[in-house]
Amino acid sequence: MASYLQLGHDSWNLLEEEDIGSYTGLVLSPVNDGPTDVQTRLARLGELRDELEVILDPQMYNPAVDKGKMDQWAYFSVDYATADHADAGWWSQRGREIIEQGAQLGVDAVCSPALCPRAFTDDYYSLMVEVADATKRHADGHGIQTMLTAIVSLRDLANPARAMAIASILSRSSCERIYLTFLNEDVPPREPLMDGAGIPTAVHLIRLLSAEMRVHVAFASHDLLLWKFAGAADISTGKFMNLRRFSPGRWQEEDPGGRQVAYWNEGPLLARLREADVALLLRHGWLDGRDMTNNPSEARILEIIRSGAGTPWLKLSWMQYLRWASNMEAAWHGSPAAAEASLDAADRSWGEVVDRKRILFQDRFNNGDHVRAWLNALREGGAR
Amino acid sequence: MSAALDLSAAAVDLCKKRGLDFHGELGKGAFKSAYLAKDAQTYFALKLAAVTGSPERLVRETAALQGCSHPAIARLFEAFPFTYGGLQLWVVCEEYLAGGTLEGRLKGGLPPPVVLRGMAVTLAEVLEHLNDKKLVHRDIKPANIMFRADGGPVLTDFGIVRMLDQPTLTQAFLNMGPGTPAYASPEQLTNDKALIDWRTDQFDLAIVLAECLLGHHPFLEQGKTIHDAIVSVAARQEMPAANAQRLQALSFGCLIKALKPWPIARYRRPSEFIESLKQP
Repeated sequence: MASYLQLGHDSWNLLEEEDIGSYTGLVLSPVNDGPTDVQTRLARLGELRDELEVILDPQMYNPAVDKGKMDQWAYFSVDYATADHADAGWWSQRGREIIEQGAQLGVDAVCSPALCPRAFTDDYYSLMVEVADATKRHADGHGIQTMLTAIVSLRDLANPARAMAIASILSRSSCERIYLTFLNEDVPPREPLMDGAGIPTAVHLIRLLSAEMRVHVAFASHDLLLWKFAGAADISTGKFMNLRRFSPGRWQEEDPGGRQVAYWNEGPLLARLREADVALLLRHGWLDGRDMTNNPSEARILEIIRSGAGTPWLKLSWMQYLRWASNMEAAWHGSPAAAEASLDAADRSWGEVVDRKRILFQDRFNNGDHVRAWLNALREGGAR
Repeated sequence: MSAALDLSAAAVDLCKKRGLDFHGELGKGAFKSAYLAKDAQTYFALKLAAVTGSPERLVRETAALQGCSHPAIARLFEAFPFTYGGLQLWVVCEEYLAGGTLEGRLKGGLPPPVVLRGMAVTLAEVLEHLNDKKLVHRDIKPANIMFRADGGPVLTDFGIVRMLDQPTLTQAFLNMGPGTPAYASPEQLTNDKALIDWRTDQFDLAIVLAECLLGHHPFLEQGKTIHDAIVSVAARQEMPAANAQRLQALSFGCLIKALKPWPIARYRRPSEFIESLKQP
């Protein structure tokens, strides 16, 4: 149904960039922006603000080490470290405070407060439902929508029956929207999801939930293809999501200094490539004749790389990725066949690049293996 | 000396002390017995239960009934502790339901589908009311569905009611959670406590309704026993295709969805279940 911009460090300006494509709304990041900053930035959006759905994700997943600007938010209580995090009452109180703060900011929806647990048990999901329902009761009085937040571990999904059990518990909620985040701690953040047992169950889980609720998959990246195939209505992604996925320690990885490497988003391969790799593709004629009219940043990046002038293109890389995500979300929405066809095409493209052209990319994990794993996941998870 | 005899004597003693007329036994369960009593004007059911361990479930049953207000839920007049001959008892005074139980009626034959539909809708509306109160009955069966003199169905016996906003009383190490196995959902039979919600009652009610239509448990296959059917439910198998086809032919295809092994595949909201039951 829609793409949302997941805000990170200093992401607000991207909202005003036409070339990022069509984003229905944004997900606020309290770790990166205090409430005063948010108020100011929302006001600065002017007329654009009315066109955007603003979602407040309180980001209380695991802010034990690096809280960023969380201390500036009233709902982030001083007893966070010493509170009993299994106490639904404590979380429900946080939910009420989040709604109060969200109402002051004029947000349209809030994600219910959620923690990232050590073990992803049924009791964890039951607690998340209880907290979300309590939050919703308060939010309804303010005209704010509530999204049930749940973090799902791909490792836990190695058991196929978990999809049924987790979906059964989450669908009990009185919330009609759900904000899902998949956690995969088994591969480094820059590498694509590669959990051959967990991803099919994740696809199945979204299929089950999407039949009953409006599913939003947060912190998505190229894997948005999987979630759209499964029927997810919405996804959110951000400029950092072309570099890393959600992980409990992600807030520590944020680099406010902006010393990121620019990556080229190679959509047909569902991969992100370094500049030297793009130059390699150019030399092999891989990018010859590609239609870039639906993603103008691509042409500008290639112009820079071809010129060899060394002009920074980090911002262009963010825009290129975000435009791709928005374009593909729209193309795959409501069409599992289109998503599967894109994945099939990616598999063929990897065959062409690796087997026929013998192109080897700098990052060893860029070899197309994830596309094979994802194809299996679609077929397995789609048939359950 | 049987517990039933003890409780009868206790009931007679209680009536005497309260100036009530004792009119004999209404029914006898494993842990409690019901008697008919009458004050100056009104008949009512006097339910006596022996308190052998923690009285928490008995207190919850009373609290649950006191919090309910639905015409198809038995009205609670009073509940109190009572001691008789060293025996600790919990007494509940409920309205007297003169129409007997569904269990008794089924002995005389299956109800016509058109009659059953009306009863089904009323009982599904009770589930909606219970869901609003965060209550799960967990013991819906023919013996616990009674009728008023005018024929209206009433859900009774909240003895193992689950209050979703209260800590669970069931230990996680148990193989099976509370319930009557022949009328229990998979999550009750496997003690998947986190999966208990109103959809558990939906499954249990659907077993009762399907039994009223088929004449047997909906998971019972020809040549198999009721034990096999219960094992099949616990193993989260689908209902036998032949039984599903018969339910469809009787215009109760909605029960197939209500009897799905996992709650996610059943009706999510009570209103959806009610509407589907109304559609012939």
